[in-house]
Parts: sequence; structure tokens; C-alpha cells
Amino acid sequence: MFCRLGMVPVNMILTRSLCMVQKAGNQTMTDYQEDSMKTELTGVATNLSGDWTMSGISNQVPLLMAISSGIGGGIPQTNRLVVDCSGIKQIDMSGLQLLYVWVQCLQIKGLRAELVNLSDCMRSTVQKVGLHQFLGPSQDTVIS
Amino acid sequence: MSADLSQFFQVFFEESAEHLAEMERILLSIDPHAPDEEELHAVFRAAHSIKGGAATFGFSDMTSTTHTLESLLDRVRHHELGLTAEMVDAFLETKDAIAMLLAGHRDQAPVDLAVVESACGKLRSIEGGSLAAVQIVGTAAVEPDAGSVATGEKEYRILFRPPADLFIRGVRVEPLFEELASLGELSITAQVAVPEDFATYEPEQCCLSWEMVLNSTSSLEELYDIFMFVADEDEIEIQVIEPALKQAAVPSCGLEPSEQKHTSKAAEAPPTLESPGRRLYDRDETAPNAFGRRPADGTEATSIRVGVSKVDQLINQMGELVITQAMLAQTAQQFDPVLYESLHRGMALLQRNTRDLQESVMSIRMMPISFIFSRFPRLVHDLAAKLGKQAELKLVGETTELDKGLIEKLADPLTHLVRNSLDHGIESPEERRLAGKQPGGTITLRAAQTGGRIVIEVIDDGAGLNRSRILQKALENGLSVSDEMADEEVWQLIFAPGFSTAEKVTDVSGRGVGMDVVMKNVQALGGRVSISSESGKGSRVLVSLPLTLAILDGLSVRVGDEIFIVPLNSIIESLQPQPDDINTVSGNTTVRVRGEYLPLLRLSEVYRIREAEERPEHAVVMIVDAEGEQVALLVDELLNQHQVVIKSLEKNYRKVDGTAGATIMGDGHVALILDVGDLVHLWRKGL
Repeated sequence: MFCRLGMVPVNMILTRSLCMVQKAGNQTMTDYQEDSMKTELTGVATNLSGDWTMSGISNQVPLLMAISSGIGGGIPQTNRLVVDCSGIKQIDMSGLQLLYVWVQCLQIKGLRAELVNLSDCMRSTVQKVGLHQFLGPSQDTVIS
Repeated sequence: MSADLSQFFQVFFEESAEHLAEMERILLSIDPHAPDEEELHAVFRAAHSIKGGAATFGFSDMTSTTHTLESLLDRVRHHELGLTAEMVDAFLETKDAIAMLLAGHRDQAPVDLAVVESACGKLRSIEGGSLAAVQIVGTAAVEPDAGSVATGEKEYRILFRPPADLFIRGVRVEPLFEELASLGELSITAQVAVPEDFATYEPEQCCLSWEMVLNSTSSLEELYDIFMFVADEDEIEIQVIEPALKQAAVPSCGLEPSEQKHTSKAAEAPPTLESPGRRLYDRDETAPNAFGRRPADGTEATSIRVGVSKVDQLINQMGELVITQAMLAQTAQQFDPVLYESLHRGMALLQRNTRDLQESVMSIRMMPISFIFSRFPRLVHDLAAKLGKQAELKLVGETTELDKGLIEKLADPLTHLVRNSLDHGIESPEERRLAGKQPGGTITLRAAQTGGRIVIEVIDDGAGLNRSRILQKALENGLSVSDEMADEEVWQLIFAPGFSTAEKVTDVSGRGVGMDVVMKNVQALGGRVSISSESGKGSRVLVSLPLTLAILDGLSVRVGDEIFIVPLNSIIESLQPQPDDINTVSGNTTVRVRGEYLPLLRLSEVYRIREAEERPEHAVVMIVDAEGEQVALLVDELLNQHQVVIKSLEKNYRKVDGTAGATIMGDGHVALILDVGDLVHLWRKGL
């Protein structure tokens, strides 16, 4: 069910524009679930979407695991993953914790994940609950 | 598992309304000069429960308003401040503001933020003024310490280690942090225990903890209270950081890896100040019912909340069961009791069980009338102050129970009556002194069950109704009146639409849109309103209502070919009169019963029934109680005792005077249920 990802070389990610990264990623895009709750992979830029509250996080865990294993095996040289959060419809403390743990686990594997395109609401919650240090400096990066 | 807290909103709204009502009840009865300790604690507990719930559900406006109230209450109950009448008024005003905020969240009702701010401002002003006074005393006694005494600000280090099931319980921590932030300058750092392998991660388990630094004037106890509903004592740790320790205690921005934090924290943490712990009442109050809190093992709830629609559905089904049982009983009568003994025994058992079940079901809907009465002390308190009058309210029979549907619809009419009594009935202190009365008047609200009805009286010892003024006003309004009218008829004039004798229209009364609305509302409930009054001594308004709107015990009687149900509790006795007992006085027939002459009411005449027995000595006379008056009802035959389900005639047909509705008999026929009081009114009109 999960496809092995064909990843874009790390030098491409780091030197080309994000737009181009997306184009490259389109070649291997994989949809795991229906539109209402899906985590898509586009190259090494990952889009997260759907429900990240207690009622939805159990569906997100296997998708994050797939991303972790895919990236870890596909591009051992890379040290950066851009995670686009613009598709996250709602998120609560359990969702934030999940994201944080996932990001930290990636870090243990030597991969630095950067969360970008956080909604105002999500960013506000992150600040409010004291998780702001963990979500990386490039929150305002825009993937277009 | 869903973490949607909105499913608990209704419970929060209902409980908060109860807490507010309790708060108001106590505040109105409390003596500012000698307040009862337990009452002060009770008011505080009520405010505290509302605040905790509001914080849990994210109603920050309610949280902050209640917090302001609670702060002052806390100081009063700990004798830091003395209770004053001004404080009680401010508490009541704030209670109203919280009720308005509650209505805003519950019903999307408009909220006047100016009122809320005004109430909070008064509390702050009272507390601020008192605080200044206390600080002056304190400064004289204690050496001031580098400005911190001047502001009263302290630095707290808060460690919050929630349990692993925090998410599963649906607890939201954001409102807690918001509330903390509202108390002062707050910095929060979250720590997460990250598993070594993501595959072992359990997403529904909370592995977060928080370390916070707060600069605030709030007390340690207030901070603990914020966590009351989400954390046990061992999950929250609050330390006051001494100035010398500040540098060491403030957490650095760059956090260590969380795993290390968890292992080293116990050894490195500065000594914890002794926790004040929760007071006994806090435990009692929060343990089983608190929102998002795990019930303690072995704790059993003593009540459950059930939607009214479910209860109504149960009552409807009960009604159908009663009808079915009656039909079966009627059918079973056709079988020989000897040959079919077990059938008849089973039917008797079914009847008894049905009756027990019906009584149990009906009792679910019954509520004490104190639900309405409890609002009047405040109303009288406020209105008397507004009108410059002195009045005492006496409540009698508060435990009298009546149907929930009636209670809800009775509130407005009774409010009108009490306001009228205070505005028009009770005189000003000067007028009362001149009349030789005590300067303070008394309004009595009395409820009692009389027969099959609930009788509620609003009695005042004021000036009484002004007969000549009412007649004059009625004449001006074009009503047909005469000086010969009986007092009872004159008093009934005030129920005419638009009738008012008030000299001037105020926001209290005088617009003439009160009593007619009262009459209409009460009549819509199957009730009646009557007035008695004596000049200079006061007035009494009597509201009579059916006990319940669903099922009653009745006796079926035959008149001609028609069957009627007479409510059992209206019947005093039945007898067959002798010819000598029947007399005719001025065209009206009377029956002599043990030396008393009672008017004879022929049902056949009222409902124009042919072929009914005309001669009382050949029929049966039922002596019935029509709201205190005894009347003899002439019927052809007594048939059987039934438990009948009241079906609305208005809904299914049209209003039939003198009846309380209709019912379906065991054989499928429809019988009218008599409303004896209304029937007597109808009969008198026709005389």
C-alpha cells in the first residue's frame, strides 16, 4: 500500500527553489487516504493535512512512520526535511506532541525537520503551550 | 476517542446556573455584620466551581470575571477583609454579570460587556481600597523589601506534570495557561519525554510536562486553584522563588534534552515549599463531578442528568401503557373469573405494577416549587430598594412539588404578581406608619397541594385594591361596570387587557400589560386566578393549577349516554338523596347534606345532554370540592375508577369549557375529564 519513495537528491533541495522541489516531488506523489485526512509526500518536502486532534491522530501515526522510514532509507545524505503544515485543519495538544516527538525522532536519525506554513491558530497554540523552541526557526517559510 | 468538550457544555451550563442560584440565595440571606463562616465558604465554593468549569471549557470571559469575584471572596472568608453591605451588593451584581455571560455562551444571548466591566470594577475598587489599607498597616509593622512589598508581586516557579491520560480525559490545558497569563507575566516551557523509537510511541498518552515562571500578585493558593480541575496534588508543584534564588531558579531558554531533564530533575530541583494542599471542601466538590477529572475508585454518582425530552418520551409511553392496560382489563372482564382465575390474577398484578410504574415515572418530572420561589428574595430585595420601600418576603411550602412543565411556565406570572404586590400593594414606610402599620411590609408566597391541584398564593399586607379607583378606571376604559358589582367581580376587572390604575407608568409596572398576561398564562396551564382584597389590610392572589399534565386517577360517571371522568381527588363523597333533601330556592336546586344546603349542578344542563335522569332522588349526587367550595354534581350512574391519561383537547379538537381534557377509555371511547372548578365557573355564568 505504501510506495517506496523516489527522493530528490539533497543538493537539489538545497539549491533549487521550493517550487522546483514540488515539481520534482510530483513525480512520486503518493496519496495514502482520502482528501479529508491525508499526509502527502512531495519529494523531501512533506505536506501534512487533516485532523490532528485526539480524534484523528491515530490515523496520522502510520503515515509519519512511513515518511520517517522512507526518508531515512531514500536519502541518507540529507539532513533537512521541510514539513508543510498548511493543510492541517485542526490540531490540539495531542497533535502537537505527536509532531514534536516525530521531529525529535527524525533528529535522532540525523534528519532536521523544519515545520513551515503554520496557520495562525496553530502558531498561537504552539506559543501558548511553550513548544515554540522546538518547532524550528523557519515557520514563516512559504512553499508556493 | 473524541476529545470534544462541547458535549459537556450543557452539564456545565446547568451546574453553573445552580451554583449562581445558590450564591444568590446565600448572599441575600447573609448578615454582613455577622456573616456565617460556612455560608461564606459556600459562596466561594460556588464561584470557584464556576471558574474551574469555565476555564476547562475555554470560556475565558467567565473565568476572569469569576476570578475577580473569587479573589475578594477569598479575602473575606479568610478574615483579611470584613464583609460589608456594599460588598454583598457588588457580589450580587457580579453574579448577575456572570449569569449574563453564561447566557451568552449557552443561548447566544447578547452580553453587555459594560455591565460586566462595571461589576468587576466595583470588586476591584473594593479590594483595591482595602488592600491599600492593609498595606499601610503592613508597612508600619514590616521592613519594606526592595519594592516587592509595594506591588505585592512574587515570582513563582510552577512545575506541571500532568498524568498520561490527560488527552484521553479531554482536558484542555490552553485555558489554564491563559488564566495564568492573565495573572501576570508568564513564561512557559514545555518538555516532552521522547521515546527512542517512534514505533513505540503511543499518541494518546501525554508525555508532556511544563515548567513555568510567573510574576504575579496572586497568592499561592490561587495558583493551585487554577489547576484544581485538571491535576492532582502530586502533579502540580508551585514554589515561591526567593529573590536570592531567582537567578538560579529561572529556567534557561535553551532546554536540555528532555530525557535528561526527567532523570535529573528530582535531584536538582530546589526544595519545594510545603504545599498548602486542598481544603476538605475542595476534595469533596471536585472529586466525582469535576469536568475532565477521573472519578475516584468506588465513587458512585447519586444522580444523573437526563434530557427532558427523554423523560417526556417515557411519560408518553407510560400513558400508552396505561391505556393498553385499561383495554386489557376491560376485555378480561368478559371472561369467567372462576374459569380464568390466573388471567384475572395476572390482570390484577399488571394493574398494580402499571400503577407503581406510573407513579415512579411521574415523580421524575416533579420538581419542588423552590425552583421558582428562590428567585423572589433577590427580586424583592432589589425592587424594594428601587422603590424606597421596606418589604420582607416569606416563603411557605417551598418543597411542594409540581410538574416541571408547569414550573417553567409559572415563573413569569408569579414574577408579575410579586412585582405588583410590592409596587402597588405595599405602601411606603411613611404611609404605613400613618396607617398604624409597621414600616416594613410583608409579602407571603405560599404553595400547597390541595386535592388534585396546586394552589399558590401571593399575599401582601399592603393597602389592598382600591375599589372605587378600579371602577372609575374601568369606566374610563369603556368597560361595563356598576357600583352594585360584588367585590369579586370588581377585582376581576384588573385582568382586562390594558387595565392599570397606576398614577404613572414606571419600568416596574403601570403599563397595564401585567395581570391579563398572568391570567392568560395561568389559563393556558389549565389554571385559574382569583383575587381577594380588603382595603387597608392587603390582597391575596390565588393561582390554582392542576397537579400534573399527564395522568390522573378518576371516577367514570354516566350522564345520559355520555361518560365523564371526575378527578378522584375532587370527590368528597357520593350519595343518593332522599326527596326531602332536595329544595328549590329562587329557581336554584339545592341538596341538603348533613344539615348543609349545597347547590346542585346538573351536568346534563351544562352540556345539554338528553335522556339524562332529571330527578335527583333517582340519580347519584357527587359532592365535589371546587377550590374550597362544595358543590353537588348530579350524574346518572357511577361506573368505575380509572387511571386516565390526559389528552389535550385543544391540540386535537378545541377547548371545551369545564373540562381538563379528554381520555381514551379501555373500550376505545373518548371521555371528557371534568375540571370541577372551571365547571362551577361555567355553570354560574349560565345561571
